[in-house]
Amino acid sequence: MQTWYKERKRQYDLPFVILLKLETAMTTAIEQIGRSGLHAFSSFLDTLAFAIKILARMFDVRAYNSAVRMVLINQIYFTSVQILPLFLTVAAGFGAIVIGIIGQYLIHLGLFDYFGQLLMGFVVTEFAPFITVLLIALRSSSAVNAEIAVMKVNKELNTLHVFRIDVINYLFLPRILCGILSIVLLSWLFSIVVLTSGLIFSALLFDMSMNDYVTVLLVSANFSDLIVMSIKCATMGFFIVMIPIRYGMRATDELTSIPVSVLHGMVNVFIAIMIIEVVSLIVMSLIEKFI
Amino acid sequence: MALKTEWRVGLFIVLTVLLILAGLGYMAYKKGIFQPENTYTLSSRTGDGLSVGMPLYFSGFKIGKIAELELSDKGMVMMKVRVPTQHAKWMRSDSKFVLEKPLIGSPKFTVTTTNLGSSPLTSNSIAILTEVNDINDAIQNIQPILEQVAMITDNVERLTSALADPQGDMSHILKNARELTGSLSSKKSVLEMALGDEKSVRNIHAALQNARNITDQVDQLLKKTDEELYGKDGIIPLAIKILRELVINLGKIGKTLDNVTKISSNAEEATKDLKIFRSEVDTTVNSLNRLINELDQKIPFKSEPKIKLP
Repeated sequence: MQTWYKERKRQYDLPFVILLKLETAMTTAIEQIGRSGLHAFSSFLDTLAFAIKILARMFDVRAYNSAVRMVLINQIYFTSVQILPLFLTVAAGFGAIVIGIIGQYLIHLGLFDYFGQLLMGFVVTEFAPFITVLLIALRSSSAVNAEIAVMKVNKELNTLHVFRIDVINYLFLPRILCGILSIVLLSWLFSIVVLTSGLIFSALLFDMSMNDYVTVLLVSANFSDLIVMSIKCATMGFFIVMIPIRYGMRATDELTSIPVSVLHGMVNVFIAIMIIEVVSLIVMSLIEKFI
Repeated sequence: MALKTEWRVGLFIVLTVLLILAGLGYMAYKKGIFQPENTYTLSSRTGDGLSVGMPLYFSGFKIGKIAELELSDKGMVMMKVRVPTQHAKWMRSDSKFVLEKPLIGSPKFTVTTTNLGSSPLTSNSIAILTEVNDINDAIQNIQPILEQVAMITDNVERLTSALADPQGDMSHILKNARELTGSLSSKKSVLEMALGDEKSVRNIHAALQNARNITDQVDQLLKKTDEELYGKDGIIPLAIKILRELVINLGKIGKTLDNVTKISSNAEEATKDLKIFRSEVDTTVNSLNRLINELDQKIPFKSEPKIKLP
């Protein structure tokens, strides 16, 4: 009798048990999504608040003392000057390859008239900032993230507090300024090198005279595009240094938190790069539409 | 080290900034940003399709742009067009300003000048902007076609209503066709369907049988004729044999005739020799006569005149 009862119960209660388990799982999943969403939103707000704080300090003249200036110079040296040989080689190589491929495809499709527009619209305003940001993010953003995380773990930030040294002024501001300056200047440099190598390769590959090449570029060049490109570079420079600083600050007292903070920081840096790219494209299309 | 770093950073910043400024300056110079500009005023009936910054094209080249747009007291759209002085030569008093609105794509603001010798367009004068609207033109062109299409649909409607009318012609035709097909479906063969009479069909069958018999007889006759003409002992092979023999005999006669021709030519030549011989004999006889006469004159005393012949 008891066996029969157990068998019946198992037979009739099985769907109910499954439903119950499904309900629990769904609730947990929805809770998890909500928690993640709230966390992401809170993190975004924190980052925004931090960015505003840094921006406000950036326009405060009193923040720029000799120590800050020295740190800024050192940061520019490490971020921009040291990377120059590699950067210029990459720019010349990439420029030659990209211009060669673009030119060949345009000739193949019978659209060589759009060569100048592609050079200015794609290579200068999109490709140059993207490659520059990618190189600087891989080299310097990760370094800044690790540096801040190590300082946090070693309690060097606390020491600076004890000595009443403003961490934002002394540590963060020069690095962020360096990021902005480096990205803007290096992007322009990248564009100039790419266009110069394009001049050589156009003459070699497409029998294009220097005068024709310059004319094609000038016809397609717009000041508004270049201004938007510079603003985009500055924004990217700001965020690719600020986000690693923010995530470096999140490191705990344990050494193992350093790689975790670098990992999160770099992932967010790349997300920020993508968002800024998309926003800049929208802004450029709006400018083309209304101006 | 610090000085070296500062120097390097400074050099990097200064050189890069100089490069950027040089590039921008060259671009600005080439784009004519530093060049003085002439401002011209144009009026238009409507501002639709016009916008500030819109480029002005001459022969496909951008020579200026719209700087201002405003509505006058009279309701006309007044616009200021800025053109660099190097392109001012294309702006003449009889230049035509056109706003082209294509069917597809954005409007294009162009100026055309046919007579470059006419007086230059002054900043005070107000030129008129005309509008070429491809959409309106297309609608105007399509309008007659649409009217024709409306007529066609009207006719089609009338046709269909006539077809659908139970008392209409089409209904009568269909009724007749139904009756015809009904009567045809009751017949045994297509011929009967066509003739409508079974006796006639039988007569046609008999006539066809007779025709078949006649053709059989004709066929036999032709076979016999063929045998007599082309058989082994037929007329045609015999005639061929006779003709061949005739050809051989004719060849022989030809040879004989050739020999006769040769003989006649020889005889002709022989008769020519006889004439010569005759003349020579005549000459000799004459000379003997002369000799006898001479001897008679010279020796008259001989009692028996005797002449020894040569």
